[in-house]
Amino acid sequence: MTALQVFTISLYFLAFVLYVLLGSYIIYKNPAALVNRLCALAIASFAIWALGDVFFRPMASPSPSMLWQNIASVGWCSFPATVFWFYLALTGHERVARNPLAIIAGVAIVAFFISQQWRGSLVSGFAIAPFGWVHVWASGYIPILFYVYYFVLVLGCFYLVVRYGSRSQSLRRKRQARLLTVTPLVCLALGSVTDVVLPRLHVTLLPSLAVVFVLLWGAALARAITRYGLMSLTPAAAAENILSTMNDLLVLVDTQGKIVHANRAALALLGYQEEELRDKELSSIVSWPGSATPLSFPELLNGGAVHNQELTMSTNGGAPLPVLLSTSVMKTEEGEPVGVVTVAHDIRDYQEIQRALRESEQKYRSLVDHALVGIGIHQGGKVVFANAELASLLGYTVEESLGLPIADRIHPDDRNLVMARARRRQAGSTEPETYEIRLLRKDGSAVHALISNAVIEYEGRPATLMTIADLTDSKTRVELEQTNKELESFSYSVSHDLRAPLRSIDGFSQALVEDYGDTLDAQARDYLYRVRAASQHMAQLIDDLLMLSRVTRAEMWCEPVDLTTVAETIAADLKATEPGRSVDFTIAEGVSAQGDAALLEIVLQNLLSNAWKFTAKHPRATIEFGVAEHGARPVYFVRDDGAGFDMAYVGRLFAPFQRLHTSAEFGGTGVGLATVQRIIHRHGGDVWAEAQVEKGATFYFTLEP
Amino acid sequence: MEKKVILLVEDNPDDVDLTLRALKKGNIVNEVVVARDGVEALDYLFGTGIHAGRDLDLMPALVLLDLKLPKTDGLEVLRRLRADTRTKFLPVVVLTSSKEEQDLLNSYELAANSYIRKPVDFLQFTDAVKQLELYWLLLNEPAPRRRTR
Repeated sequence: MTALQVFTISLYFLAFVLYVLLGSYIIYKNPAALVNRLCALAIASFAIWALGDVFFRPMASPSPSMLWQNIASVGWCSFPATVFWFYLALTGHERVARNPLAIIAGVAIVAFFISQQWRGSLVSGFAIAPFGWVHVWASGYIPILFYVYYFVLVLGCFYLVVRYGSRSQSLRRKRQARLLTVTPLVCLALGSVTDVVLPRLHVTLLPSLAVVFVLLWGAALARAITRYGLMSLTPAAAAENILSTMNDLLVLVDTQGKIVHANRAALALLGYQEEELRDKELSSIVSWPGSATPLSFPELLNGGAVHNQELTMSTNGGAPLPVLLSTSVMKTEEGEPVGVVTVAHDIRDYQEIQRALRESEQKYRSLVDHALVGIGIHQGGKVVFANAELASLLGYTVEESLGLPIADRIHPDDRNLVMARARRRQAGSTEPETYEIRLLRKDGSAVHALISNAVIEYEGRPATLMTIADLTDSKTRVELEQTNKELESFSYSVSHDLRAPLRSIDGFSQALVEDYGDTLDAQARDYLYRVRAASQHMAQLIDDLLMLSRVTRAEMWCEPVDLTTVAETIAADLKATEPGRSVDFTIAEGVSAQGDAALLEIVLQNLLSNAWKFTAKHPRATIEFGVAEHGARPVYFVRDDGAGFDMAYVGRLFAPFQRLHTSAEFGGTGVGLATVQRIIHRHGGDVWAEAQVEKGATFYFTLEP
Repeated sequence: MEKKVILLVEDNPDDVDLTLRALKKGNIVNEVVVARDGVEALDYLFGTGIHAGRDLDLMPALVLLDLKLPKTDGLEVLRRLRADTRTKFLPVVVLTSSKEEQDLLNSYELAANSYIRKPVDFLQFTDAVKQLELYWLLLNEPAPRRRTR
């Protein structure tokens, strides 16, 4: 053998090996899919052709070569048909590809040409060339017929794949189609030259290389598969894959009620090998609880389908497996049942969760039901949940209480404040969680209660969980009311009785001065003057103390208060008392607050009067009232540029009867700021001061924490 | 011209003296009848008890009424007085120590004409009494007297 012959043979052999590998790979990718099987079949044609070529060229005489040529002809006679068949399946003509008549016709044509070759009507002889034997086409019409067959089917393939590519919307498919159009075109051109044209012209320049050239098409196929996923997934393949790998149990049962197939999940969960389960009765692994006889199989088959029914399956070891089971009957097109598909979903986890949920629900429900406090939820302004205690606290039944507008159940005095807090709380701001509140019962009477709030999610939306303790009968409440009553009667007598003697002291001292003035010397008159001053001071003290006690006891009415107007009125009054003073009031426009109007007026009265008083020694003074935002909270302030005070004593500022100035410097009882502090605290706010001696003082206050 | 009488209902002798003194200081020369408790005040107004047989055509032009009184308190006096057609329209000025909210409310509720809190400072007190006199005895037109008999 010459080196050229060895090279040629190696080429054919290599082609054969590559065809075998490619065919195996395609089958491996998806053995069940028709398109993969047909592709492998087409490749097998080429493999046989290549194998034949390996052997027929180096033979010493033509006769064994003819045998191998005949064997190779099984490949080269069949490939146009197998490739066309594959292209049909590939381009979505599966129905044609599966048509028995078409298949028989194809097989007949292929068999015809193979038989013609074996009879010597296609390739009739050989010529010797440097690379081995070269085939010589027979004369007559049979080879022409073969060429026609070959061209028609190859062109048919082009037609199919080009149409498939142009009709497809997917870029991926277009690229696939292009790949599977261009490469066979090249193969066709080159192969026709080496295998048909040159032998026909008796030019032995090249061996017949068509089968090698077709490798190019094979490479394109391999690329189409790896790059574009050709033939790797079809709906049927996917369905089969899903069924075998899904977590639900799938059992196929024939018309006799015998199991014919069970998927992986069914085998694993029931603890069987596939062959153990095959031919078992379905009723042996499914028990219908509550009835001694399970739904009979004929019933199932004749339309008694089960849908998502909670049943128990029994495992190999006899242990129960709770499932949600559905069946559906598969029928032929004529309506003849062929079997039953049974799908079961393992619900052990679900049942466990349900049980835990039930227990937890039971625990909390009994906690809520037996709680000694009212527990409820309001959402969107309406009560959406109430326990018995809350309902009875409000004078309703639980059913009646649902849907009640929550605002209507709050005492009008507290309503605005509470609703504003609830809104802000929902908006994410930190609000006092626990506070006293007056609720309205169904009959309109008020209930003193302690409420605690928390923002929760209820049925997917934000809501407020409230816990309400009735304070009406609580010991502290009763004691508090008692104390308040005593305090009230005490204040009442102080108000009436403590002042009367002071009036006598003052009045008769004055009478003494008036009636006996001439007999009294200057010192005696001075003493009487001091007696009167002291009694008047004491009267002031009593008034201030009463005020302090009143602001503690007074019922609060929360409403919007126009602080600007209040401050302006007070400023005008102050100016009127001492018209000679040069004081500028700078009062910010539009300052308003939520609170008790009367109490807030007392606050401003005290703070502005203080500012007025402590600027008295300055020839010119400015007093400012305004509001500053501090975080989200308004901070109100009263600022003056008067005497100020030493910050070292700021701790004593708000204690009653504590004064930072002598009476000779500035008059006063030392109760005013204590009153201010008490009012501010009752509003839930804070008050503080900053000052510098002779530079002035600023008092700040907030009304809600 | 009829003499205008002032009825001062006041239990505290000091206050009586001081009030009389303030009236005198204010140059008020009207006759002042003093009732030391509520019962006495009602006796005077309706001609009962110690004032039995009093000429009821002569009604005071002004009643200065303290609230805290022995026996019958000021508010009760006011209630009875307003309930009687003879005294229904009498000008009544509550003159008392407190300015407790409930006292103020109750007084106006019972149709007191005015409410004055006695100042501790005697000079202010004098001033207040003087203005009272000026207003109620000189400026104010009383309701026409009803002839019931």
